[in-house]
Amino acid sequence: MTSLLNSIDTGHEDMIHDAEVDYYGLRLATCSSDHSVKVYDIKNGAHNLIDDLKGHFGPVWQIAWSHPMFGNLLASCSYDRKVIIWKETQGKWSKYYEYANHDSSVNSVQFAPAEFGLILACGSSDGSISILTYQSETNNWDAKKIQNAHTIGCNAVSWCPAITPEPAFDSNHVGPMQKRLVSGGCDNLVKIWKEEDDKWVEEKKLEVHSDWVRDVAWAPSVGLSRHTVASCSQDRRVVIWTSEDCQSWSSNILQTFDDVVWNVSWSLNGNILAVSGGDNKISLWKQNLDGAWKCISDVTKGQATNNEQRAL
Amino acid sequence: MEDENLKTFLIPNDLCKSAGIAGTWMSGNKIGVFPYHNINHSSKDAPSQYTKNVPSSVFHVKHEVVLFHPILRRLVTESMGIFLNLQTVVENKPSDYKQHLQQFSVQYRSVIRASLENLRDEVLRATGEERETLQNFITIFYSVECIWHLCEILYIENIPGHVVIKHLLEWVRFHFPKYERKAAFLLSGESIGSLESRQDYWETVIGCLLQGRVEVVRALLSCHSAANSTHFKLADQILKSMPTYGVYEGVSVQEFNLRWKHWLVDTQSKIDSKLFISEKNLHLMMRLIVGEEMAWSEVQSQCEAWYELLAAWLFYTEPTVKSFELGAFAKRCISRMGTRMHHLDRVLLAAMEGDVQIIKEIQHMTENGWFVTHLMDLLYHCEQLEKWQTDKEDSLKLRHSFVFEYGNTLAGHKSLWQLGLNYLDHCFPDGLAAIELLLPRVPINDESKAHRVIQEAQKRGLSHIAHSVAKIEGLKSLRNDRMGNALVWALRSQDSNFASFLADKFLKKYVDTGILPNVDLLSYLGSCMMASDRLIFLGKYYQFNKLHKDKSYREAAKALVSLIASKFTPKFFWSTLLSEALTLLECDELLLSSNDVFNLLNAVEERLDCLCELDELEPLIRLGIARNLSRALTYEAQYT
Amino acid sequence: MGRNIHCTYISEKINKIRWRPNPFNDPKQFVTGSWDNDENHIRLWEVKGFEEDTDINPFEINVLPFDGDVTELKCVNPDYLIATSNEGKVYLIKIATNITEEICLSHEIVWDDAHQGMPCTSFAVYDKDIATVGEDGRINLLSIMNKAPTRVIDDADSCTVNCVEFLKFNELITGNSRGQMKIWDLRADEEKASQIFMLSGDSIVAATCLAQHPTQRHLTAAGDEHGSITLWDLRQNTYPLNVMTSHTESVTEVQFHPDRPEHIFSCGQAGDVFHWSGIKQGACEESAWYTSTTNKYDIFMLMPQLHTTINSIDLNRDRLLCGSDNEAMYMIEGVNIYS
Repeated sequence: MTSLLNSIDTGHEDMIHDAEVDYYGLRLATCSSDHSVKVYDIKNGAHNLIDDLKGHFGPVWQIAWSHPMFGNLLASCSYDRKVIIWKETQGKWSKYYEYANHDSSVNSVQFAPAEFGLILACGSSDGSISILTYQSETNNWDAKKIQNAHTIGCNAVSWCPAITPEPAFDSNHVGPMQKRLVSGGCDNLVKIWKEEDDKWVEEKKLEVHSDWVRDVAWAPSVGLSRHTVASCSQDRRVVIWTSEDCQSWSSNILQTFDDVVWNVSWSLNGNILAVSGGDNKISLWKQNLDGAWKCISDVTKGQATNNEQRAL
Repeated sequence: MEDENLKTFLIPNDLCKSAGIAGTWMSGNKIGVFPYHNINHSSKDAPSQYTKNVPSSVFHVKHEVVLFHPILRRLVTESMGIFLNLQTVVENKPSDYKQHLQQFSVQYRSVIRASLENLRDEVLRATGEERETLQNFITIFYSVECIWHLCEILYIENIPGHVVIKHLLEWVRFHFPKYERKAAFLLSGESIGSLESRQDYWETVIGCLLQGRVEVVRALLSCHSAANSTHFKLADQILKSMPTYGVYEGVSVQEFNLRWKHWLVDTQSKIDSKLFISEKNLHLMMRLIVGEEMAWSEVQSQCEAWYELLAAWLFYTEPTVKSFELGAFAKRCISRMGTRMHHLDRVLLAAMEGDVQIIKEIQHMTENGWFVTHLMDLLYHCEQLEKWQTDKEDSLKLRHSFVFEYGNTLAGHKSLWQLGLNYLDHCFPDGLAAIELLLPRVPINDESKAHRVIQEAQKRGLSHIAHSVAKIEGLKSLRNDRMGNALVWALRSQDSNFASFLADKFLKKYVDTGILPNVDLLSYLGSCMMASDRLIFLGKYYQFNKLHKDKSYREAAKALVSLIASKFTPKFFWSTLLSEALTLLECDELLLSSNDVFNLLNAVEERLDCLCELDELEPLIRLGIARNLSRALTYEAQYT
Repeated sequence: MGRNIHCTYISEKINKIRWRPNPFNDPKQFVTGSWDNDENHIRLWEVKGFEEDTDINPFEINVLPFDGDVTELKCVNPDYLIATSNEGKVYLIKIATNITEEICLSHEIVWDDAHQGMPCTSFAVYDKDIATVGEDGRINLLSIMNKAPTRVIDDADSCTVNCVEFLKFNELITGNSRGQMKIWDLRADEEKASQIFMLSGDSIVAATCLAQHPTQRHLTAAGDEHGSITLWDLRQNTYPLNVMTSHTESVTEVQFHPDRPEHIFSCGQAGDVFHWSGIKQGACEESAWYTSTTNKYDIFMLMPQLHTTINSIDLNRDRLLCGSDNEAMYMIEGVNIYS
């Protein structure tokens, strides 16, 4: 039984490009082609507009919430080549930091796992990826750039979860945690990056897709230190990549869809993958005990005229 | 993808229809769906064709969990207690733990029963859609109860020799109590007139016969007005002498079979002699108990379900049937009755056949995994699950996957999250990893909840989560301008940077206002100040400040000297500290020794850079130092 | 579960449970307040079946929806109860019979801004006076006769105050999240505690609950987050009379028996509920809790340990009510206090 819980009329005047809830699932942020970012309170099924953030001068592609350990921060990226970090103080949002060092549209922003500190990764159509790190001593942001990460453009970035070699089982054994990123771009590639001696280097290049990679998502880690990454592409395929060590990756094509696949999103505990694409469907995928990926449910667009809700 | 169980959900929205949709995961089991049409940096930066015609909305689509319905919450909360008790027993493995397992099975069933009774009460009060929902729940949980009970007989209960017929009859009687109730009414003497004149007399007698209630049948027959006639007496004699197989009656199966055959031959000969022909129902009964095909065809319509017929038929034809032989007999009954197989029928048949398919069938029951989780856990511990899997490890994996799913479902609920954690604890190690992801995201709206989350984290050795929750609470306190409380949280978070940051805030406030805040807390810092250097400084400074205020200048001077020597003084605080030192240097009474003053001077020299913005202070300090030094040296020269 | 323990599931986590006093008889009614649910409630229950030897079954008489979590709930007298919320509000609720002879709960006074929107954690009642405390560190003195507060002590505490009790009509004791116990002289103009002492050394151990001996009010018991219950004779404070340590996790509530204060009852986060009997052989009732020899008391576990927190208990004669996070309330009959 699936049910429509409620709908939030965002009041955006054009297409919505992203909708993200905060760490606790109590607030929703949306961004749109109408250049704005909106924040709603969605506690207990209610939805009240908290703020309408205006600061971009172009469609806003993606938004990301920070971990509450760093206060209430929201990052947004836009066609106007800018990344804005917004901060909430006493219920009001204001611009906290603006990063304008990309030469083209910024397509993707993601905050790193809190264990690494306050760090933001941004992927841009200029082909580069920026890593912005907050320095508490100077109260400023330090930027590192991976030039030419993807020729023609980077479409998506996603952080590797912070896993200590043996999570939680052995508290005495704390190894250094490795910062890693995955990115996807217009060169049809998926790339794994890691930080080494203060520099970001390409760790692995994953080649399977035959057209632009539209989205990548590193799965939250459940259990042992096995890595799972999902990527989707204009070649209508979704690929699940798995690796034990981030060195050798094996790929598993989830399915070839009827149309371009725009985005992939992991559920909180990484056991269900939501895939949406040009076939106007959102399908949910889950791995069964034999390790095979199965579609368990899907959501399709419908009509408003008869206002029907159907579960088939 | 063409799975028949695939669920599709339509979003009722025109904009979604014309543009297309995309979705992202929200918290728990919710997805946010919104109209989406891909444009990118290479598209023209102009309003799209979809603007302003319809509002663009975000739709929250959620997997509905019937278990969260208030009426079923009891099932969820009460069964958790049983589940956890079961895990404890299994961990300790007492010698009689198999018996415990059977008791747990009965406990689970009694929770289902209680819920069903609740539902039946509520459905009478409900109207409209709610009534339909409750009806639906009744159907689901009736099936659950029926299947569970059968599985208990077949897989959980330790039945000697696997001779299950008595248990099967009990099961059938439990689920089809109609005849027993009628018989009780007839025998209560409340009905008026002779019993056999009642329409349902013979139906009840035969019904009870089919359910193996031979004693009740005899009692009913004895109420017949012709009970004293020869054929009634003879029939009673036959029923009375019918051998029954019981393990504890000290009779082996072979011996029982011998007696049974003897009794059969005897009864058959009496039927053949047409001794009962004058009363057709009695005749029918006698033919039934010797298993005459024709007779059974006559009565089978009286059975509501094939398994009712199965139990009856086996009781009279195969009384020593073993649990693992049931499948073939079941199939014969099904074809005999021409049953159209519904879901419940399929599950029961699978259970009797010992078919692994049963797991799949149970999974597809729409009660969100409550049933499959608890039953499979129990079957696993009864070492039954491994019979369906290639090995023990696989069966453990299977059990884990159900417990994991169920735990996740509960953990995502606003109120039942702690229950979810309790289940996740019992599928190591994935469960703990899931807790690591879920626990820090439990929304916290007051400190009492924060303490609970911290407690849950610490119980599981997840101290990093406990610390991070404490730190977030500290930040919240800070935002609410509750610095003292923030400091307590900082100490709990064991984050020394955070503690130092707060200590600086206290000191800065003092620099700005001349008042040290939260003295009720600072005066009782005690060993807590060891959390950070800056906090030690704050604590020591507070002591100095208090002595100074209380005009205990000699002690204050001592405290000051040790403060300065500590080298923990923050840059921004130097001028404050030195101007306070000045009052001590200039005091009428000589408070500082030459040694102290030298130390002070050294400190001033070293930290000149911090003083530059306050150059009017520097000469004063130097003057004070010089004067104090001369006084001290004179004094020391005189008295040492 | 034993024959004398009756369990009822109510589909919401119970944070507080209290008997409704009955001036003439043993009470048959009680109230519950829930927490951590999408919608919370205060419910009034009645128990049938005390006289007969049948199954005891409480049924709901009335329900009042509640905004936020119920953080404390107490009956002032048979007709009024007070409830506080984690949204910082204080409610005076009337229990009255309406024209159709139904018993209804209704708001009489709401102190909306008692704690500046921050959670109100607890309150104490002395006749018609109420003292409320909260995460904002404020102490409010209210009267059920008056909507305007009698007195407000802002910034009374730097930390969250978790519990409060009246020592006398003009004296309060509070316990905070740092583990400080403070005594407040309400006659003094100064907005400062007249006395501060530590619950448990100088480490951080939050006080979670407080209880007052009903007749010897200088005798105070405080529960803490590590599971200890500390007893003081406040005439000679700072050095505890007794530290009772059977709870393995945080103590959620502690209570002296209202008529037989030589018995203490407590419940905890670990799902345990204890009966501490202060009269060992030979000791007289008056001196219970004062003796400082070892083996000063007997401990009884009143029911098998639950897997969820027991948040609240309330005693009347030999009947104990418990409310827990497993959404069940328990009534234990025949608690052994009279033998």
